[in-house]
Amino acid sequence: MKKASSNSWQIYMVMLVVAGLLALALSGYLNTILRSALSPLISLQTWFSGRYMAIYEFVTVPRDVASLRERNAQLESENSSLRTQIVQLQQQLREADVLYALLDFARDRPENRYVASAVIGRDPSPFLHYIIIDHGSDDGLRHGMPVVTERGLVGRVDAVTAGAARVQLITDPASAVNVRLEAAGVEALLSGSITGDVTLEMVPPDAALQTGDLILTSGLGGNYPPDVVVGQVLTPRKTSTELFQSASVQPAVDFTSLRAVLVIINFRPVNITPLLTTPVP
Amino acid sequence: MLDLLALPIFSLLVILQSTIISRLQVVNGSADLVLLVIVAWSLQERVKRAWVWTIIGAGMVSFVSAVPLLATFTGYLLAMGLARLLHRRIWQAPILAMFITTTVSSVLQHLVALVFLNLSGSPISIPQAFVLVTVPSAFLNLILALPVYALVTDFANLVYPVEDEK
Repeated sequence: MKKASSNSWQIYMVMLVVAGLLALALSGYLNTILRSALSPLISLQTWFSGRYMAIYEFVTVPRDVASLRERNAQLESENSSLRTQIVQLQQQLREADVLYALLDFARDRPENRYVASAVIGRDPSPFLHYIIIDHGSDDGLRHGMPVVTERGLVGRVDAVTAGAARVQLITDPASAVNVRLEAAGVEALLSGSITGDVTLEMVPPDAALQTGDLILTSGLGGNYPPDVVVGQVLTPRKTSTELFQSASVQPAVDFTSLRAVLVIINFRPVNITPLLTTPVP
Repeated sequence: MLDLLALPIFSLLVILQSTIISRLQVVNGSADLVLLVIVAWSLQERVKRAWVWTIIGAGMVSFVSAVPLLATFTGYLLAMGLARLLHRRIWQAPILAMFITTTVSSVLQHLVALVFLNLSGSPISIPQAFVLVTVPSAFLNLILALPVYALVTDFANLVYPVEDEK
């Protein structure tokens, strides 16, 4: 009986303490104590949460990095492919510009028939100035046909195979072109050299040579059609001891960056060799 | 049969020479890959018929070049002969032989070409050509001599492997 009454008192006391604590909590008197008590718990939970997330990322993020790397490689590959395409298109655009210029030139001279050819090589010998083009006898090219660009005279076909031809440039040391000075109205001879410089020779001494004078083919000798632009007089040279004047010439065509040329296929050079007088022994 | 390998090799070399090397000029000279390969091949110990490669190389070049046929063949055959001669004399130092042969054969080949070109009607001044073309070309050939010799030696070892001593 005594034990039962003692238990009841303990229950009442506990309930009283709980009720008191509740009353104190609800009235806000326990906030400071609760904050002090919960703060380490919160810190502990934060620490656990942080470690958990670190482990989670350690397990899961490498998969993302791998996929990102794969994607990056894919994009880099795509980027490089697009860059290559840009370079190719720029090159095609430049070629198209050259071809349009050649086409305009050909349209302006309907009396001639042209075959457009790309320059695919140069003579291996450094003494000679020849180019190799990608059209040959299958396309109607023959030995001696003149070769031009929209700027002016390039040279003439020297050797032909079925699919390619070798062109002697006017800068070649063995090249000689009969020309006419437009302003002075006199004829002269244009010759090349191993350095690629072009010289005007055999200009009559009384002709008025001036820098910038336009030089055209004269058509004499039958090797080239007349009135094709060759270049301009650069530096006239006149000495009292020489029979003729000479001049250095700026060619109309830039031979260092020659990409495409036009071969005039309806012009046949005239062979005047049988008409030349041979010395009698 | 192995000599037929010269056909694709010299075809490739002539294409390279015509499209790239002849555009890379110092003053007015340019390197001659075909000459370098012929000289390096002729200096190889186990190569017995260097003249076959020389004739194939010269034939390929003369197909493209406007230099008289005889000048091309004479120039390359002289270079091969000089290489074989020096190989017997200074066989202990093949690199030295390569350098000497490259220099001398560059000059010889150009002189032969100049003589033939003048005879065929190209009015080229030999002293001017020597200064503006031959000397720079010999210089470029010397620069390329060592890498070409190394490549040709590797190729020769591949084609003619050393037999194991039993």
